[in-house]
Amino acid sequence: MSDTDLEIVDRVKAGDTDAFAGIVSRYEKAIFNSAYRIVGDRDDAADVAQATFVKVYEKIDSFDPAYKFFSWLYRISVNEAYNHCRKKKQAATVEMEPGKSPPGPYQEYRQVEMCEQLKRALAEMTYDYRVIIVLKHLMLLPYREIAGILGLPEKTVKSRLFSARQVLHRQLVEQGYKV
Amino acid sequence: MIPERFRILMNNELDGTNTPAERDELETYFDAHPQAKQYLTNLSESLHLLDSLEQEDPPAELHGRVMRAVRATEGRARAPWRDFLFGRLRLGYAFSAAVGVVLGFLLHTAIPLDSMGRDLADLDLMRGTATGLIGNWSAAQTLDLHEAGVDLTVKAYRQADMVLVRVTLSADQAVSLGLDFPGASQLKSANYEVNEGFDLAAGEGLAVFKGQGDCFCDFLMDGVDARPVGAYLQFGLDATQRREYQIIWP
Repeated sequence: MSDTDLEIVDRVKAGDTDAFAGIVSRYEKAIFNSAYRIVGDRDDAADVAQATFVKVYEKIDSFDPAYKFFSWLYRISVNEAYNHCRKKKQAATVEMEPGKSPPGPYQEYRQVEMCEQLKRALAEMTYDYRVIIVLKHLMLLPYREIAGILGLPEKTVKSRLFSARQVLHRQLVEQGYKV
Repeated sequence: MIPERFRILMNNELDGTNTPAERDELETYFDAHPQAKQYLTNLSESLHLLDSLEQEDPPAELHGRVMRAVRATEGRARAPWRDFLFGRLRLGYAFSAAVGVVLGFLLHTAIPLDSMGRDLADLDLMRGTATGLIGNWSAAQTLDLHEAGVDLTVKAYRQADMVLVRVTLSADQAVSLGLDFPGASQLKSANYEVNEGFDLAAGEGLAVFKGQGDCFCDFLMDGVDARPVGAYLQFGLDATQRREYQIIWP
């Protein structure tokens, strides 16, 4: 049976740096993907993920076990992504990487095209809206966790999410997506 | 324009969390506003597109890269003094704090507490280094706010051009608190206790607190002139949710 997050945290706190690899293995995909959808570039997302894990390691002594570890981790990740966007002066919009070329059958082409529209729509959203869409719809986190990560009341998260959903829909329509 | 109540119900409907009674309420609204129903259908279809965005594998070298970076920080990373110096206070202000600690210690050991009139011993200033601050301080000028899950108390004391400020902040949501001390020339000492996720910087007559949770801070600065202390409290990231205050000296 694999160690729980808290067991790994305790080992790292006790000086077992190698144990931290367990944290990285467990969460690197999730942290990378959330960062990728927020910053819009794989290389930048890898930088954000790396900065996130390093900060988690540095701050692990201050982690309060009364809170969920992954909420704390996500919170640091979202902050790192925000700092990254701010440094690149991209907080309002990000440029998504061009997608793969769409050869193949029509259905596959349509799928790729839809993904590209979606990526562009996300990129056009403001950081606040983009991050909430990513946490809710792509990371599938419940409202309570999102509220903890963003430091907002659940009510505000719900209200902001509805606005974000509306903005996403509008962006898709503007890009020619037909419902 | 969709009324707030139905925005909430439409959002819940997208999440599939409406109760039967709420669904009936929403249907009644839709009967009168069929375009809202169509809009919700369109929103729902747009959001379904998000399901097509699959999670991507991170770069193969990411794990190794992260562990190399972690090992590179090993030894220096988790030393508490490093966090103190480089994390919350910033390097320049940490130096001021260190000077303040020495100053506080000297005051505590060299000057009898009752030798210079009224002191602020009750503040337990500079915990662990001195039990009071000597001098003829003014009564506290207080900013007290309890609103929207935020409890904030700012107590400011004055002696000549020197100002001592105690901030106690507990916030259920992300806030920014700014304090502006006109004319202040130097941060003489500081004592901070902040939760993870809180960030603050102080010096040159300006103190800015950002974050959520609990935060306690004492700081002492001099060269402050007689103009009111400016303060603002902003809820979340929305600049329109900013309240401004003044602390006026007696």
